[in-house]
Amino acid sequence: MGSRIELKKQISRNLEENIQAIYASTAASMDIVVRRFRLGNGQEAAAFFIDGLVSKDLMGRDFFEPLMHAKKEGIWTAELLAAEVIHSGEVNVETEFSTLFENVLQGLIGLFIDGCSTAITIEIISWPQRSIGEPETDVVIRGPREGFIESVRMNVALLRRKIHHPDFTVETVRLGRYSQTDVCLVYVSSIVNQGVLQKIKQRLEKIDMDGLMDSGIIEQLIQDTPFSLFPTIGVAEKPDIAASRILEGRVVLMLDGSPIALTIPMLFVEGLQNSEDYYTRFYYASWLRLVRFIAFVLNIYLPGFFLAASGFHQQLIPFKLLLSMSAAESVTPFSTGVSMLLIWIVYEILREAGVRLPRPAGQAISIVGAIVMGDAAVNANLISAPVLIVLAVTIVASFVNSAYTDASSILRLCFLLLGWLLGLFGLFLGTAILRLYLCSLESFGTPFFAPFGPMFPRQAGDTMVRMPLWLLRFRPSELSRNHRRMADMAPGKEDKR
Amino acid sequence: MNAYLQRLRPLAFLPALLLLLTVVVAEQDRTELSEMALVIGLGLDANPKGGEPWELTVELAYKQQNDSPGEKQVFTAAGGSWEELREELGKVLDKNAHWSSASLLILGGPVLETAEGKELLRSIFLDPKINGELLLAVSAEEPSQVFSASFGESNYLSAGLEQGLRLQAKTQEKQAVSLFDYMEQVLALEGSLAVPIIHLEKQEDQAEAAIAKESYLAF
Repeated sequence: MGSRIELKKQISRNLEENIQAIYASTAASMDIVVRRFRLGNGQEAAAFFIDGLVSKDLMGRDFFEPLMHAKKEGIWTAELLAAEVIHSGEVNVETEFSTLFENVLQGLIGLFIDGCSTAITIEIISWPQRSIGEPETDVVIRGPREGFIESVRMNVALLRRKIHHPDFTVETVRLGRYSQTDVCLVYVSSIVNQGVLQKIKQRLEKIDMDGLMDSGIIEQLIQDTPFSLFPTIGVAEKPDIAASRILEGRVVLMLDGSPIALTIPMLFVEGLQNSEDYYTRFYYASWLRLVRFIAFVLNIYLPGFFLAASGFHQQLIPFKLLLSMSAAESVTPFSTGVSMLLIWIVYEILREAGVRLPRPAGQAISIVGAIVMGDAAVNANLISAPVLIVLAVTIVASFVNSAYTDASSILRLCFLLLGWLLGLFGLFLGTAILRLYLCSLESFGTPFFAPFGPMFPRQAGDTMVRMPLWLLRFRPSELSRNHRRMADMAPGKEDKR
Repeated sequence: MNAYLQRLRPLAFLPALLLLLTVVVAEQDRTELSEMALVIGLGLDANPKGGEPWELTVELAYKQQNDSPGEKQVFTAAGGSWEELREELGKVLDKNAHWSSASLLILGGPVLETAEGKELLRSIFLDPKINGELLLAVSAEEPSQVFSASFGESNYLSAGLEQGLRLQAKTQEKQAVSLFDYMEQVLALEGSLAVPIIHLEKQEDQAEAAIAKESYLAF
């Protein structure tokens, strides 16, 4: 899996030959450092590493100092140095030049010894990385606040802290012809769906491109339906979310350089859930899930329903409201549907501008755009107040479920057009098509709309509502072959033992 | 299965064509809010000016600005049937009449006493745009005069009278009669029904409508 750098095969016994091979392969890169020195017994050696990826302090203390003081009667070999002298944590003896070179490009130090046909790689990595903090997009009131960072090793370590079990497995592959990016598959071997795992590996094997800069690229390359409206691969920015999904039987895929982990497979209901649902009481968690569901429905249907009611089904609108809406619309130059489309386009432009600009300016633009322009547009009779209110409610509802921002944006436009042109009939038609579409989607062999379609009644307790934890004894059967995840812990049972 | 789908490929344009036709047809039914004239009350009586047999009076709710309480507008049209009356009214109004907000129908005596009048009421009832639950009342004066009067504090006579009739139905145990009730009990079963009577009381500035204690027995 992945591609290998094409270099000369074997490490030479001649130190000078190896050094010349390094220079020839790196095309005089200024960050490749080759440091010649002598071991304690006078034997010549050379270390080569990437400047900026290695800790210089630790390198001096744990690498050069013991080697330069390593006295011996005979000659040192790589194996002897690795076993008796170097006291760094991870030391490997390499026989192939290409493997050695790849590891050095990943931040390890390579050590050639004159007269020895093997070499050593030592890990004293210290590349620049940001500290662990709370992700901006997954904020919780109660629950862990740490989030993934760009280092896949640190991310795996964060997951390892959550799951201390021998079956916790991390498989690493290297993808990208030039980027040689580490990709880790993390799962619990006794819980995971092996069919899903094999599918993931098969699709990763087919990836052959220059570089992978973010997990989003892998997501697009391995997902079931490239043209799918809904994402069929979940994302997780926090270790507790990723660990929870691993314990449900999913596979977590992490890319070095990306703080976003992918969780496979994904179900539709995940986009309406939050990790905080499991850390709070079940009745409040259930209420929040219903609120999110209502927000999702409002986000998609409200503009279309407004246009359908105002254009075709005025009898649904109370008389006083109808009178106010009619008065408001009578002074605007555009029809209700055109006003809605225009103001929606302006909102999308403002939102994109607010995201791309530096933070202080972006916030100012958003506030100015939302309040001043909206108010000015109504006062100037360019759009009506009911249209602006409908759009404002829709926008607020769209921020509730961030997982479906992309899909809901397209669906909102579709239902807006259907409601505007066909009324409630169009909305029902669109809903039927959407329902069929959701039932047809799959995520690595798992039905995306489960447990609604097909029905899994046992899972209904953790979908729109969250039943008490002691009732959620079984893992989702569509995700894992190992179903039971907890003993019977209903309140009062332990007292009867 | 694939071979079957391949054979169906030439027909792939049919759903798109069907959708396009549906959209074109649906456009005929769509009405912009700014193009609607909200009819809140209707009046039917024999045409006092002669010519066409019937006169239709409508009270429209009108609001120019959102913060205004609103004002009423009264229009009349003459015709021989319900379709003609609507068509003539369309020529008088500058917007499309929206009928589903109508809550009151004031009738003159000839409408309830003649076969042609009953047929006219049946046509109104069968119009899907008319709400069959709108309340009936009988007036001795012409409906156009009644709609020009005021009732209590309400800006709209129809809304005020409708509330007054419903309140009377609760407090005095007098039934509020709807068009549906009339159709069911009089025209269908050939029974009788006590319809409330509206009369005008002359005040200093303008006439004031009032609900009479008596009822009109329609059969």
